[in-house]
Amino acid sequence: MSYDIIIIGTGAGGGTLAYGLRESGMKVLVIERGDYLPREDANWNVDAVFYQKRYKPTEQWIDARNGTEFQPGVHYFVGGNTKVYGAALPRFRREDFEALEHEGGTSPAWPISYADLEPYYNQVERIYGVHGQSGDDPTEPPRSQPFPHPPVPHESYMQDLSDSLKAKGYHPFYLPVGIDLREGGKCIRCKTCDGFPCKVDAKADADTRCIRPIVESGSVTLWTKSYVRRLLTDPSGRKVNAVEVEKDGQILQVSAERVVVACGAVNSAALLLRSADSKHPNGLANRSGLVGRHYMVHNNSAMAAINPFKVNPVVFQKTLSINDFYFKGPGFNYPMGNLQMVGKLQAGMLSLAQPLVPRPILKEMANRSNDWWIMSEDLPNPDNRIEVGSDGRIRVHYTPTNRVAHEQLIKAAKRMIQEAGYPLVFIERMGIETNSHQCGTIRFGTDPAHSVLDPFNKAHDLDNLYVMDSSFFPSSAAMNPALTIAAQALRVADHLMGK
Amino acid sequence: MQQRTILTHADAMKIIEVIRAELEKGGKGAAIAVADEHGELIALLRTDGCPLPSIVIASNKAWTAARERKPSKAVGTSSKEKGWPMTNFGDLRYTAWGGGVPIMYEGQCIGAVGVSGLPEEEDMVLAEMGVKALVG
Repeated sequence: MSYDIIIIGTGAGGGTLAYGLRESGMKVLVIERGDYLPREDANWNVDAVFYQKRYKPTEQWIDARNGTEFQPGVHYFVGGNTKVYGAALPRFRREDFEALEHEGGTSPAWPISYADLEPYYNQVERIYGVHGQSGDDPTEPPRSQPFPHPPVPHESYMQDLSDSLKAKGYHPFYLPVGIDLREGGKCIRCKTCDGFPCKVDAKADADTRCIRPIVESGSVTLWTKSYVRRLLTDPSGRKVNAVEVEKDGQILQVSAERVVVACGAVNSAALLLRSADSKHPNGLANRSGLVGRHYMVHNNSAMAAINPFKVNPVVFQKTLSINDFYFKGPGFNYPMGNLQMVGKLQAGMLSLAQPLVPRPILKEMANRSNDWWIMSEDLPNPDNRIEVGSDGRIRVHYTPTNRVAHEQLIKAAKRMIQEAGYPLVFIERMGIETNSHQCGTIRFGTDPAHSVLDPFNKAHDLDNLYVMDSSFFPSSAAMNPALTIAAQALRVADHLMGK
Repeated sequence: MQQRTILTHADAMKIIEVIRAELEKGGKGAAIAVADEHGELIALLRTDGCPLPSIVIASNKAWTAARERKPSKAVGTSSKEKGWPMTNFGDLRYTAWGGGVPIMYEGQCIGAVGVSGLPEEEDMVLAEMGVKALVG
């Protein structure tokens, strides 16, 4: 069996790349370790999704700092992590592509600029049907085309919140989201978007928007439930000449002119490390020793803010975001990060405030809270890294960076929401298992000594190996990564087609 | 010997002030009670417009929460769900309404806050807010 291109993984990177190649005439094989996510009642069940973790693998990774196990925030399905993401699809800021001084160190420059990606941002916003409105976000990068869809309107509680924030001098803007909300669209505007799979296929994910259309049209071949064990190289060591796959209980080899690894920042690094052979003793594409290093996940906290006299009846809460503190804040001259609403907290979804707040009161809190995600940039540190143990298991070395900026952002967020009239505030800081924004482990750059991939995501060390997921990020910025991954995937698709 | 943390009247005043300010913003009247770990009152404020029965109810909510070391709502819910009458406690001060919240500090109950006069849910959230102002 031989193909022009094999893509391993179907998330924001692999799925969008496959979509970008749909009219290339190339023979494309897409390999996914999971299956299609089943459409079932449990999709929208808080208990099944949040407590029983129905859509997470049972696999445990190891926290290498202390040897304990944890259940990672990954999802092995067609569409990858985008099946359960919150559909937030903002662009990175122009400055995110440049070197930026943070309190905790330097966020390094990318080998490409915002302008290089801008045309692809336009394309990918159309593919994922992004809703938004330009002009309100003070940090917004220039756009050559408007958002393809109008912003998702605030419900009345959110409109009040937005008005109060504006009255206090803040600049709330409509969070760009990818949902099929329009006349005749599939979205029914529900509570179970962020963190849940969409039962009605209305969330724009890499499955519904990319993989399914191209599989149905026959332009690619998709293997599901097929796990790639390792990549094999030819005698020169310059070329991947086969992919070893476990499929239907068999181990088989399949080859292609070019191979793209798109398994997510942790699993892609693990695959390259697992593929070590005599010519690549430290793992594939790893002459620089950087594969697996510079693992980043964002500094994340959740905030719930309450006005005792205001019940929050909102259904789709994720319509507002704040970037007033993105580059600096009051009394703090360094970047702090982004604030955005999360899906409406339903009693018990987050352990926010527990065990401090007794359960019966928690429910009343949840009925009255507006709920936020507080996100600060995590800086690349070579000691934060992914390893594969001798037993084949994934080991994560991770110590958060840039914490001062994150604590400053929490303080600023708290002050902001109290000024807006929500005096009771709960904060929960997230730990190592909150890795949905994982990135950085196979960074791109121009210098083979300091990067693994070139600016089109081809490995410096091999002639036909590419990596197309958030692994390539040299810095994590402080915005949701999906749109930027997908935009680069279209850029890489053009490159693979010789455009 | 056992060492305990004791609520001071200054702590009680702090709690009352936070809740009072919030009541004023909402333009509502209520009674706010702060009790020690035995449930005995340290401070009680009835703000303008407070309904009269709330004076007793607020202190009883704090009494219930402190003595049971759980929110008065939890006591009421158990009684309702398990079907035993509140009189089983042999203590007529026990109340089933929400709005009494224990002040837990380093694993111990050091007192309780009771709020009464508003819809039950608002009493609960305000009482919790008072607790959080001290130990949150």
